[in-house]
Amino acid sequence: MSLKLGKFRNVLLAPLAIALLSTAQPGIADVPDAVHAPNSWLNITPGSDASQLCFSWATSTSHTPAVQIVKTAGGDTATFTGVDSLAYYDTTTGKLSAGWYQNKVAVTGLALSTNYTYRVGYGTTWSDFHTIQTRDTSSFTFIAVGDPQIGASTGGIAAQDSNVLRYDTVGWQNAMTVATQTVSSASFILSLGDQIDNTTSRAGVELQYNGYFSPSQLLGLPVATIEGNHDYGLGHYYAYHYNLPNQSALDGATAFGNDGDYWFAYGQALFMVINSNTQSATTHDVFIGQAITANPNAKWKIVSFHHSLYSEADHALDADIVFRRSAYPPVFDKYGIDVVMSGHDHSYTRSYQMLGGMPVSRAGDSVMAVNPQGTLYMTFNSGSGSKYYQLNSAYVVNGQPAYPVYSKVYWQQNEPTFSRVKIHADTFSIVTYAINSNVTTAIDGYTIVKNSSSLAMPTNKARLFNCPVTARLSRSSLVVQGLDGTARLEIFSASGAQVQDLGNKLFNGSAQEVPLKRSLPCGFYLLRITGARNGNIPLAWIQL
Amino acid sequence: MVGVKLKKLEVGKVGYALAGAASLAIYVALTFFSYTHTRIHHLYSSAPGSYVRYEKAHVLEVEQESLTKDPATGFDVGYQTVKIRVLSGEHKGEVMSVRNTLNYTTNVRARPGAGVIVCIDTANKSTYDCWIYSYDRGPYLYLLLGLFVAVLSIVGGSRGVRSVLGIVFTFTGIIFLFIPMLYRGYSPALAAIGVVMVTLCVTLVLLGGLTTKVLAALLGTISGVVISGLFLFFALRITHLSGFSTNEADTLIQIAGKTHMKVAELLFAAILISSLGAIMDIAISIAASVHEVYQRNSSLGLKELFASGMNVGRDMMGTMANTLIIAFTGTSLNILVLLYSWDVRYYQLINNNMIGIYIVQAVSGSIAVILTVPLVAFFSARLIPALESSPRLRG
Repeated sequence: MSLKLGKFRNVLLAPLAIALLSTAQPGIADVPDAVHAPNSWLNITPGSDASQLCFSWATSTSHTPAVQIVKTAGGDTATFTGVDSLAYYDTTTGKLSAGWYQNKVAVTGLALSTNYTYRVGYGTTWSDFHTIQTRDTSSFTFIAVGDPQIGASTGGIAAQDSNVLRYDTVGWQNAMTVATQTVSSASFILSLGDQIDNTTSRAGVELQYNGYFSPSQLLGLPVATIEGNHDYGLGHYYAYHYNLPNQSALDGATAFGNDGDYWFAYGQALFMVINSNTQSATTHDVFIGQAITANPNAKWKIVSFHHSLYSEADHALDADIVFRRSAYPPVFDKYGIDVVMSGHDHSYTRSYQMLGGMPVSRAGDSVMAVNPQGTLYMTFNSGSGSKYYQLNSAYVVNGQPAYPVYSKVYWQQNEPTFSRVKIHADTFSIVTYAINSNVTTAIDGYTIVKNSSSLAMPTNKARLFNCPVTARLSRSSLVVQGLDGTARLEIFSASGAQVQDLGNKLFNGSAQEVPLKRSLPCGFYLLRITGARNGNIPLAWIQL
Repeated sequence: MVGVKLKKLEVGKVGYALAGAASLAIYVALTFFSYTHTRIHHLYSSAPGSYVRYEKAHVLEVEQESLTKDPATGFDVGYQTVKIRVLSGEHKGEVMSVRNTLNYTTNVRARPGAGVIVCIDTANKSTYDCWIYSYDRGPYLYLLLGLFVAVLSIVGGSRGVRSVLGIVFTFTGIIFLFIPMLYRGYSPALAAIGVVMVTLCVTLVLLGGLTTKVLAALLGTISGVVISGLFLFFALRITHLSGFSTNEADTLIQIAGKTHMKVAELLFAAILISSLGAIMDIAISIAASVHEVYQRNSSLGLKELFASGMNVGRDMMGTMANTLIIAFTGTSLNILVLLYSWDVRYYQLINNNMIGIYIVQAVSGSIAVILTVPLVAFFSARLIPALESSPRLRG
């Protein structure tokens, strides 16, 4: 009954949503007023490496698609052409829709750390101009988000707005705004699958895509997407929205055939995005082997796919998940994958370092691992707030997780989260933030250090991510928010030696900037806050 | 005396013929349903040439082993390298050396000579991987089933054999008729009632022939099922429990999106079916007792027969209600142990979906059993003398 209502409601609200998504909200005027507009669903994915970008958009007619791009500071305009192909909406009946075309263009040879201005189109018809920045790869950050799943929220969660589509879209737009402000120099976004919820009507699906592509930030930031189970439900249709680099024609593909695994390299990191909607683990084994062979010097090997293996909410004990939990980890063990990132379970979980399907060690309160064995498995919460899953009732002990034994940190407070991942020569670090309207709170952090013999684990480390105080370190200052009263701020090196004592300062709760005594090099530090009337932090990792 | 015996035999034949015809009709219907079944929801799929198959294998030798006892569980965890011979499928006869990881998720310790099931995961023509998926339980499960059938047939004689037929009928009816109906979007509640009715008729008639006591039991059971259904309907409404309250709801909703399966009503159907056995049991017991009493003394009237039926029923209803509650406790033992050990607070406990479902299930089944007692006692007391005195339906 409620399913029927849901569908009915979408149909009813469709005209309203079109109006809202196309005109009323900021930042989306350029994305389709209708599906077949010249630059519908324009989006960018990372290219094969940091000097490349892949563009995709939809048109109602067939043309040779082109991207014009120029350094914003000036110079020669480069024009890249690509191919378009007839795309169709594949329902379970396999019916073809009225024709529309997917346009794909790859842009290569971009300089790093440079602002570019681009437009897409063909011949005489062009989109508006947009800007995008390439980044330095020696040290870079990206944003990871779990299932945006536009259209997934139901009556309960969307009680604040009976229009599910609008509720989810606004949540997603806000998450993108907050995440890109917090991680101001992100190189790209990694979306862990289930970009949209998928309905049985084509109109509903297209409205959900309008919502998904609506944040204006996405016109200036590549997004690496993953096929989730809801995307998989779209059949061939999912792949027609993106232009993915180094996509395998066969390995990892489902029966639809156009959704194989893909990889891209960024600096010293190799990102392998696999399609967990395939049943076979061996097909991913083949793909990962090839991707690593093509990138033999990759220091950080990161695999992403939708279905989380080690998470602890609704899906943790699903039969298909249990199968993947048996079949996949041996492949990651075999290739020495450093980090696996997933979504699907709409809650945050950080695993222990896992090897052979078992935690390497469960001892200690580790927020940092130096040259660790095994693989870290991260599961991300909802990126838009459309749907949250709670701790699986099999794991609840008076509100605290008791089991399973593979997760170190679980978090679910029904707020969207995003993670800031920073990859430095020797370090991979991830800090996850919860979003409450436009305020972020760091909820967890973890760092893997590789090839560092000098960097020992501090013995007196501690962490208080759940306290109301947030701090952000830049080269020249420390910005602290939420502290009350006079507090002493000290910065220590990762090995525990005091680097700077900023002395006692008076705080009033608002964001206050405390200048550093001298600028600090990029790296990991420990912050100690003492004496405040609230939120003392014994020692917390902070990253520059 | 001879005449009575002859009649009985004829009535029995008619009964069996009817039961046979009904079974046949059901089988035709179920083959129709299963034949037209299409897998609408694909949880996952693979590109052409890539597939996962499960095959039988025989462990020849454990080549390497690195196992330790996990302190938390006492499990053996670690690795084995195992030489196996594949016994089925495209790699039949091949000897392979395969890895076997032992952890919390996969924990099959291979020993030489053991039968195992391997997962052969094929990426393309030249690349496949093989790993040990589980113990091969099939032969042992069939052994247990065979033992059950043998014991039932030896102790029960021809009735035992007929019971086996009844069980086969019920089981196939559920697998081939009931489940496909749910999948195709028929109302689970109505489908459950329909399947339950048909199963009842066939099982009871198979067991006792088309006799007065079976007729009385049948009427009693059908009334019991109706009462159970009505009670359940209101119980689920006031407690706000439905198929959406179950752990599998999320996946079911996804399937429902493609099949129009009615997820909410599934719980109703499940509970109704789970109480059927007990209702049937008490109905046939009471009908048989009344029949026995009437046979010993055919001068007894409606009142006396009803009273003897009620007497038997009162003795039984306590144990039957207990049977239901014990059965539900058995199936939910894990969660009960968890809730106990976690010392879950009252409001959380009493409002836990599963606890709610167990209570509604146990209570509605028990109430149906209890109310079936007077109904079947009444039907028996009314029907048995009336029909037995006419020579047409004596049994």
